[in-house]
Amino acid sequence: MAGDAIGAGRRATFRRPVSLYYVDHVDTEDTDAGAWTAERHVTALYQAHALSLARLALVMLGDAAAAEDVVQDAFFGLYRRWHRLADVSAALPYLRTSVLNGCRTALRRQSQRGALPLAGPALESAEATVLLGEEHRAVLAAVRRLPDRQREALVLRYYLDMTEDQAADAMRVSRGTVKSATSRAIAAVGRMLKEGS
Amino acid sequence: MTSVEDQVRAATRAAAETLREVRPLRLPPAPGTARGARPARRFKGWIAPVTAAAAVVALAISLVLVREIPNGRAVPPAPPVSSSAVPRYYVALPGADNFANVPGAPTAVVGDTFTGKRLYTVRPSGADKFVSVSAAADDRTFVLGANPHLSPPAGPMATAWYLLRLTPGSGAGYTVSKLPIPAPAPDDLVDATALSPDGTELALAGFQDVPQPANAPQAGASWLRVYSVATGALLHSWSTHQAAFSPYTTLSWTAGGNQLAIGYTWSGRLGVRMLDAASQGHDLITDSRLAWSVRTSGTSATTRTSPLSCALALKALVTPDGKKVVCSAAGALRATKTPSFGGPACPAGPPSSDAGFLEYSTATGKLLRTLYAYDTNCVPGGIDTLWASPSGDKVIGYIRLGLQPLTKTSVLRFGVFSEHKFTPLPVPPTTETIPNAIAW
Repeated sequence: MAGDAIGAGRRATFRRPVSLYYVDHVDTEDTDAGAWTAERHVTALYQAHALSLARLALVMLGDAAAAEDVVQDAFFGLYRRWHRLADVSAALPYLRTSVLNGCRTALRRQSQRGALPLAGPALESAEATVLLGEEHRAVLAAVRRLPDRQREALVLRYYLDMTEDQAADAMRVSRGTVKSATSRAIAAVGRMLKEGS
Repeated sequence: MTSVEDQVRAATRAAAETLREVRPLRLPPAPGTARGARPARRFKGWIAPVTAAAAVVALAISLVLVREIPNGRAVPPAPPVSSSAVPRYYVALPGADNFANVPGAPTAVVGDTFTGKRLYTVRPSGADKFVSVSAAADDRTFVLGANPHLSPPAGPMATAWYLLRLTPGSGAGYTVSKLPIPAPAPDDLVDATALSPDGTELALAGFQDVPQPANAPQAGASWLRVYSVATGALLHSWSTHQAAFSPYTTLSWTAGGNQLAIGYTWSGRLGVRMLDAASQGHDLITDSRLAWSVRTSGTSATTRTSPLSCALALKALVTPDGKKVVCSAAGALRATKTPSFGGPACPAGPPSSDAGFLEYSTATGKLLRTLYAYDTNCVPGGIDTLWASPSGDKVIGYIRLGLQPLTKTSVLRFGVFSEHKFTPLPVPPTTETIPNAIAW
């Protein structure tokens, strides 16, 4: 068959693509590097990444509205600081860190008000009840009861599948801190699931 | 027993998937932007993000929508493509198929299906060349596979992927960004790519050159992997030593994103396996079922079987509803004199050969109907299906002469084929010798 004639050819080692990368056409209409450029870039970034970042915030906070607020603030912050970005490929890591910071702030406000960890109307709604099985809801409830740092480490390591080094970068802590926070988080979630079963 | 880590992974991802869209981005008007027409299209003031009510969670699988700023450049979300409407836009890779001389396409072309007009030309970054394109169901979202290091006779194996979103009427008309999907290992060859209908997941099928287990029919392992478009995370993978994928392997999702259809050849057969995308296993064969297969003859154009059959087909197309397989078919040559290569492509005389498309059931594997049959006095060369409507009532395909490239003059039929009806379309600037060189 014709397909058999197509061999592997010489294989080369390829480097990993960067996480955010624009082709030249995005800039062709911009004649200055001012706010118009920032808006174009930030809008394009929003189109490409807002949903995934909102999902990250939703997993952290358990509340979709709060998650979207955090993401909007993160993109607005990026827009304001656009001219200070050394490299457009730094935008996504900046946004992710910004979203995590925003989540921490939201969680701190909740605990200062004495409220329970965000219950998440979106995740407790009738629709979510249908979409999320009972087992998932039990796991999520356990995750939401974790201290902030443990929750963050757990989400970065197991939701985003980050390595310990990547999670340490995103959380601005040492690798050892990520390791111990993750380990404690797993143990705590395991205990809570056992108690609840 | 599932580990706590796996439970956390599964639960957080399930929770994340409940969020299907985000509200528009609100930015303040840019300072000092008094020039030209730009200010007229901006907000008068900054609208502070308002804490919204609980997000709308769709029960059905819906398209991911990120609405643009409604400032005059706004493009409404693409309306759902009607059940049998032909998509307006295609993305094609001109010149991507010439393995001997020009592996990979230096540009991708966005075109209008009905007018043939080239709307945009997209260039990859750096030394990348485009080798594949796959489309979501919204007629706006595509993923382009690229590779910077192909040398002939290499197949079209992608090592990086770009997300292309069409935004007609706004700015450049499209946006492109490189996806965070990791490059495959050096001995991993990506053969087929399929973007999920909602544009959130990318399925890749390929072949890895690994040592052969004792009971395996051939060396190497074929694999199927599903990645998150947003994060690049590997969501699931399956593999097998019982099948060998190739650049002619086809991969597609059913409309709901529930199943993956893999078409490939083995031991003188062409077939399609259907896999439940949510299955928990990792064995490509045991976790899927053989939905259809046909014996392939691989013989020359002068000794076709009769009646119309898919014996010479290299690939088959599964309709988005998952219920049918459409394959390209050829029939017996009825001429008394066997045409030879180099002779006239359309010898004088009455119709002497036929070509067309057949439709089979994936539930039973049996022939459902002849979708289209074309009697001609020309010697058909390539025949292929490139797109099918959700129910398969319409396909875009071609029937062309001999072994020539696909051009206006070499093509006998290019357009929409439906039951016994053909509607011509302008021939796009693409090739037909490799799959994934054009997508709707």
